[in-house]
Amino acid sequence: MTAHKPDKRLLTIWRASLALLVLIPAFIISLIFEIMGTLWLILTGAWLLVFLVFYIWYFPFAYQSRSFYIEGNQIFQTGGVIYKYSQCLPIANIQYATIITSPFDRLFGLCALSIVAPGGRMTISGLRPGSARELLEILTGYPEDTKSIDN
Amino acid sequence: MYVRTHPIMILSNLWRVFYLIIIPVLRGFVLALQKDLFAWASGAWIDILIFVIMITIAVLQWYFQTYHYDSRVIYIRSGVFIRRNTVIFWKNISAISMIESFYLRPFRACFFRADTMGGSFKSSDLSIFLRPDKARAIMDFSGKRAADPVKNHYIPRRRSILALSVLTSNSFAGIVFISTFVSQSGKLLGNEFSDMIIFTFEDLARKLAFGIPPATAAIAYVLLGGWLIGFCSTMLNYRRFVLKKRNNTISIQSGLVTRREYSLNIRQINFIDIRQSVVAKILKLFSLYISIVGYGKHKDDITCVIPTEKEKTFTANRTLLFPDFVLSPPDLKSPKDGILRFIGQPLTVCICIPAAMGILIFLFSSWLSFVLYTGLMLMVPCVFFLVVRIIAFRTGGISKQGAYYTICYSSGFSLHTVVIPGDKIVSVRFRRSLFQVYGNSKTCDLFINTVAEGTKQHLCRNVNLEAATKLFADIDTVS
Repeated sequence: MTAHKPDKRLLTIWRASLALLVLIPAFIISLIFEIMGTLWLILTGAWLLVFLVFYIWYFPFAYQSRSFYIEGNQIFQTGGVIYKYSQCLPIANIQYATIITSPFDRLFGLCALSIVAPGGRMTISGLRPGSARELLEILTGYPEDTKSIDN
Repeated sequence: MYVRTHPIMILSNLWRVFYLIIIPVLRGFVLALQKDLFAWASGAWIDILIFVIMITIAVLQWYFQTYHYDSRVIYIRSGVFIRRNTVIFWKNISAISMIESFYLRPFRACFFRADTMGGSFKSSDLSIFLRPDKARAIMDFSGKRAADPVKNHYIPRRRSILALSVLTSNSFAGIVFISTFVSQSGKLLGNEFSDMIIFTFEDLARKLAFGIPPATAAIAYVLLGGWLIGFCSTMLNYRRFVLKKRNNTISIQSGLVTRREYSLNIRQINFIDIRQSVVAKILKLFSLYISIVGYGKHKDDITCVIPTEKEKTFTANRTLLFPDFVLSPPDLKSPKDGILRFIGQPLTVCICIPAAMGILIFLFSSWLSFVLYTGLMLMVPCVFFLVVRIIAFRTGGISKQGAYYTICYSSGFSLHTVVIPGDKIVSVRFRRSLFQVYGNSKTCDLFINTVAEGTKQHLCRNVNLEAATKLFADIDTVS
């Protein structure tokens, strides 16, 4: 059983998305409150703090804890920062699968694979397109097919 | 080769980005409050830009949505910024449907849906607009119809459809339709038109009151009108109904104004449900419904596969179409002293309503006629519910024959006889109230969950605990 980590560029994608996202509160706060006023300083400090917490602590830990592997007839995914999770999905239960690429994913050459089973869904992010297609073939082929994937 | 969906998909996509219209609406609203017509007119380019953006997004979403299929899967590509490549396996698709509404026919388009056991239980896994010939080609391909000839087919008689329409038409649905029509006509044609409809109705209700209060007559006519619309809708939906059974699939075609076609995977049928209302029970009429993921999910779907028929004809058709689903009479029934488990709730309500009426009349004697009238109206459904529960007590129970369980129970105002294959049972729960624990008869209530996209539960009341445990001994999911 080999645990596969997501591509390192996934961390960069998360950080870039966060940087874009914080522009929204920055813009709204600057629009509503007087710049360099007390309230503006407090609120700007607040979103900066949240940004730094996610940028320096949360996302790196989330990336480190995330992995997936195939064992027997099941696919497992683990992760989590504050709450650790381990998700298991029987391969035979897979109904359909989707390869998703956002603009950031395309920029960094990555994608995500979402597999849907009755009552649940598993999304594996940070895959290269070739690896995603290979994983898709493994998951949708026969259970005896134990071809491994290379990141 | 990837093929695009029907261009009418652009209108559907436009509806999804319709929220952007809030910008010009808000702009107009703010400037209207300021009474600045010049500012509004000079900023009209913003409104035009928003509309152009909406149309561009809708067209791009259609342009980037394509599909392709082979012997194993159907591939769908969609999305402009966030792109999705979806792969759905034919063997996992439980139901495919094709809906040709009357307003789509001039555009030679139909609504195509495919569903699996995964995904959202509110919407289909695949919903696109296609040309009818392309949709039919996909349905034929998915069911491998060329190599799977028709074994049996069933066409209901007109009186069966008439009976189904009479017994199952819903006044509420018709009332919603009428009220929507009147309010929308007011918006489109001016309030004078909707006022004219309402005034005409009031005048008619007054003339046709026949001695009863006009308000009561108006309510009665609204309910009757609602039921009539439901009746006509059901009749039209089940006209030209044909069910064809093959080895692997069941195909259903139905409808006059809106033509519907379904292709259902036989192996994914979760259970069959013989449903009766109290009136149907008394008249010994039966209707058959099937449970399969993706079929009957949407409000415009038809759900009945054998419309209302007499017992002999119904049994012959049911056995012909679903011979594997073996129906057995209930072995495990509620003991005679367990009647309170069934009628406790409705009886309580039937006692509380007259008691409340008595209290209100004592406190507010001037409201006598209103309280009496309201109380009597409320008693009607409660007594009806009590009758349903009494029938469920007499006829309810559970049995097993081979690999199939037959469960007879009531749910709401309907009586159900459900035949479930053992491998479609997800979980069985035994529940005992304090009276059942400390009582003499050692009974329990059974909650049986079956395979479904959401939660599907069947409740069998007050059966012997030991016998029920033995009945489900070979099911691993008992709790």
